[in-house]
Amino acid sequence: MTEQEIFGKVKDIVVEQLDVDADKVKMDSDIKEDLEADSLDVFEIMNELEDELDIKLEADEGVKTIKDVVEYVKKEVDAK
Amino acid sequence: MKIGFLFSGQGAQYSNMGLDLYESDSIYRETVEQASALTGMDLGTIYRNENNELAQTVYVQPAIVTMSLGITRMLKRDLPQLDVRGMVGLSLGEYSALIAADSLDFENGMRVLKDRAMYMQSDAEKTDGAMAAVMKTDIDVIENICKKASNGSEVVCPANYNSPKQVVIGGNKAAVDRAIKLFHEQEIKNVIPLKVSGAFHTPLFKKASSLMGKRLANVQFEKTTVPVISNTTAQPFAPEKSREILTRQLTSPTHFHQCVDYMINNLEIDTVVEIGPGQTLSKFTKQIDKKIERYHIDNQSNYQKFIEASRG
Repeated sequence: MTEQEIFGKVKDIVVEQLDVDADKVKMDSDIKEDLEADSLDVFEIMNELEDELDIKLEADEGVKTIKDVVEYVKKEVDAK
Repeated sequence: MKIGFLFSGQGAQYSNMGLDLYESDSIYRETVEQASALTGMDLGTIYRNENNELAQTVYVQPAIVTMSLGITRMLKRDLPQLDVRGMVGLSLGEYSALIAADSLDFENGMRVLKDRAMYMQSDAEKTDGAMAAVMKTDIDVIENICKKASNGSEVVCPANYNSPKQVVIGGNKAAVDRAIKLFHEQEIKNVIPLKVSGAFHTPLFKKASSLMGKRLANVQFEKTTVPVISNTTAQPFAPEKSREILTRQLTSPTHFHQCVDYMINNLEIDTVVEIGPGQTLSKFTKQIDKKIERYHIDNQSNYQKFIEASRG
């Protein structure tokens, strides 16, 4: 998967989970500050990504921005 | 729009919440000032949260209810024709709902709430409570694990049945830790400890509940203008039962999921409006039934958005 494809997936899940407009989700969006997620939301987002991409993720991996999530997911997908 | 109002509970607060409404809307400001006078708290300062006031149960409870009621008054003024079929508040939010539905008058309501917050803070400080959210796990499994993790002196039990995807458990810290361990042993990894000051809606609040029973003895409850569905019974509040239910509420689990189901099935709502800080309850509603339209109001901009949507 390319970074762009992963970003697409992350974006779909974030939009669904957080009830935000798709154009608000950018690579540099801060998940908690800009998208108003709480730690349970982050957990659920990671959970959805795990199920969709068949990888293992830790919710407290210190992700702050969407870019962090995309890179973390990419690392796990590549390592599969 | 056939509407169900949802009123925020404790945990949804954030710094400066509602201050733009306070600046711009006279009825909102008036509500905050009245509530400050009734509780003897300077809510304006509490909302700014410069000294972390919102982390304290004793301040945050009146602060959230006042915010919800200020917004409700704005809605009554601007949209008197709104088709509100029912209301549900989460825990603390039940007081917002009962006041909004004219069952409890504002003056008495705010005074009762101040005492409730005090009783709860006292129990929270005295006990070693902890809570954890369990996601996407069968209720039977959760209840079983809680039973196994409890013993004579330390208990853990379901405290909030929030949505089909989320149940929060709470109790003595040692028992909650044992439950988390049992979940992990069963390969259930979706358990997240929550940062809370106490195990709300568990037997750890027995003292607060007993004080609440005495406090409510002489408080008058009227018939609600629209059904308010109780977290404790998942049935509409009846005035003659309200004291007893609100007393039990403190040690009993909340059934938000069932309350929303009740509004969908019995009151035929197609829209929810979450009134007060945050949008936690809208998110739960989405997990309960995706088809329900959702709005939340906690600032001037989403207030306007709702006003426009409701006028079609």
